[in-house]
Amino acid sequence: MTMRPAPRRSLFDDTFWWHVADGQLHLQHCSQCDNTWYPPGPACPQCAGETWTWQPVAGTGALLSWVTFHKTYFPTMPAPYTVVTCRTDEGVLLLTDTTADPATLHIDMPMVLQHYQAVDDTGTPFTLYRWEPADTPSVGRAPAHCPGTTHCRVNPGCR
Amino acid sequence: MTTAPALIVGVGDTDYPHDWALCRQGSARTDAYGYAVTAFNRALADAGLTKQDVDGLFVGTPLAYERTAEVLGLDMRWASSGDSAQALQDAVAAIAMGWADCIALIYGNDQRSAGTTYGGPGASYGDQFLSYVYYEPWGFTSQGALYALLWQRYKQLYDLDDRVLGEVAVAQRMHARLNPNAVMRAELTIDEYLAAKWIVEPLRLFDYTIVNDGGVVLLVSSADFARSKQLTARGVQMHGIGRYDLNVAATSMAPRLLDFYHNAHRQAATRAYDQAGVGPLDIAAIQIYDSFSVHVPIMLAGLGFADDTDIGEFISSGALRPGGRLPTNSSGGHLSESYMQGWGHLVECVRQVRGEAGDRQVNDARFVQYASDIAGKVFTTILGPAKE
Repeated sequence: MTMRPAPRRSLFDDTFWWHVADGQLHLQHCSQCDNTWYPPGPACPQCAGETWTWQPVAGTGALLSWVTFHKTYFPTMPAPYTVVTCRTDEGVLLLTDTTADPATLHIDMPMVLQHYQAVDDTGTPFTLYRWEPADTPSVGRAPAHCPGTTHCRVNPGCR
Repeated sequence: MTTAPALIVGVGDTDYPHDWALCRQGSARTDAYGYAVTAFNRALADAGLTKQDVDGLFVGTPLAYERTAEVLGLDMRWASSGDSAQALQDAVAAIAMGWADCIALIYGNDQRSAGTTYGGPGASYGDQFLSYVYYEPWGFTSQGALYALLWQRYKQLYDLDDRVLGEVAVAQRMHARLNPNAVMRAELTIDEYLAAKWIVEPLRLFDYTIVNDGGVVLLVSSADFARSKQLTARGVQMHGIGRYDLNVAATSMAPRLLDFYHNAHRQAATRAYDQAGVGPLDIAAIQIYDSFSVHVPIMLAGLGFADDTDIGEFISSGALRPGGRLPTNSSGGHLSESYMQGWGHLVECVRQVRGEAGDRQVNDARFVQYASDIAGKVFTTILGPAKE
């Protein structure tokens, strides 16, 4: 089983991770100015509005940058591994790991979000998500852990 | 804009290579406060002042304000605390307001002997910068990784060779070899740089700072105080100061990855240059906050020494080296002297302006610039001789 450090959670991160556990990815959307932001927080950074809703994202984006860790920083996560940042179609930057070969990566390449399962340092399972190249064969197939929700927006059409 | 000028009238630091060796043996000679005391005594001696002359105190993180003042036995009429960028701003403002006449700016750090970690579980400063710890579930940690992510995009967009960063490390090592107080003084070649292990690719070992113990103190006084103590001739004035901070979408790293913090670089530089009445061509040498080599090309491009499209050529020409067009980090900087979180760079500016930098003295160092960029919080100042 994939071991990972558990996420840091503010009050607003809880809802974010609840959606992730359900195989989705939602971000806060401002009811006043239509802004979408990440990470979660108490107010809209654009207008300081305190009224917002959680909205699903399309789960697609474009690659901005990537790095490969050759030094092991977390005992449960041996190097090497590669981490990418992509800009979602909604304009928000999200950072995750990827299973893609870094030699195949290039700026602006289309990427999609996929969910996967991990356990934290206490042995508690949790769901994570990551960017993969849009042409990755597994895209569009139901992952083994897929909760099968009918309104999944991360892997559209997988069921 | 007219302000009552504040002058740096004394500097002190500690023996970086000596304390490095002791730390490596596991026998550090003192703690963070002890390094600060050593630097404080040396700064007073440098200025020919006594403790009783000090009436204001700025305490640099990670030192705690009260304990620092207690250890040094200082009851003060003005005090503040923060990082090396905040220090000079606060001191200049306090002097201008008449809140203090002679301020000690004090830094001490036992990060090496105390085992301070900058990545992995318990990474430092995560309570202040959420991006340092927020992405742990994906294994993303360490300030080096944040700069590696920036550099990957920058080098791809501007088609830069790995030798550009290598030249930064090599040039700074050349400076360090002329500085008896630098930790790393062995010759470093570009081939050795390229052959070194990756830490977080595209950054290698020699792109990273040297985490070390040490202390730094600067004494900042009013012009009147300096005159009364005959310190004006050796006084160093901040002729211009600029600051601009980028915070919007900082955790998602949008200003880092989409702008390379250049908007902040330009805003801060414009204010500092305008106030000083100089421009990049007037700068004899520059000290750039360099936790990682990446800071140097990004800052130089942001400040206007070159464009993003020709910064690689500028650096590859040897401009940063001793005797080059723009000697950069002439003490060796964080990469080769010691990681004193910007404080050591300020001391080097003062020594260069005074003409007291020994073998590494830059010719005609009338104006020397300092620039720091800590997660998009940009500070820069133009230092030069005091106006009589």
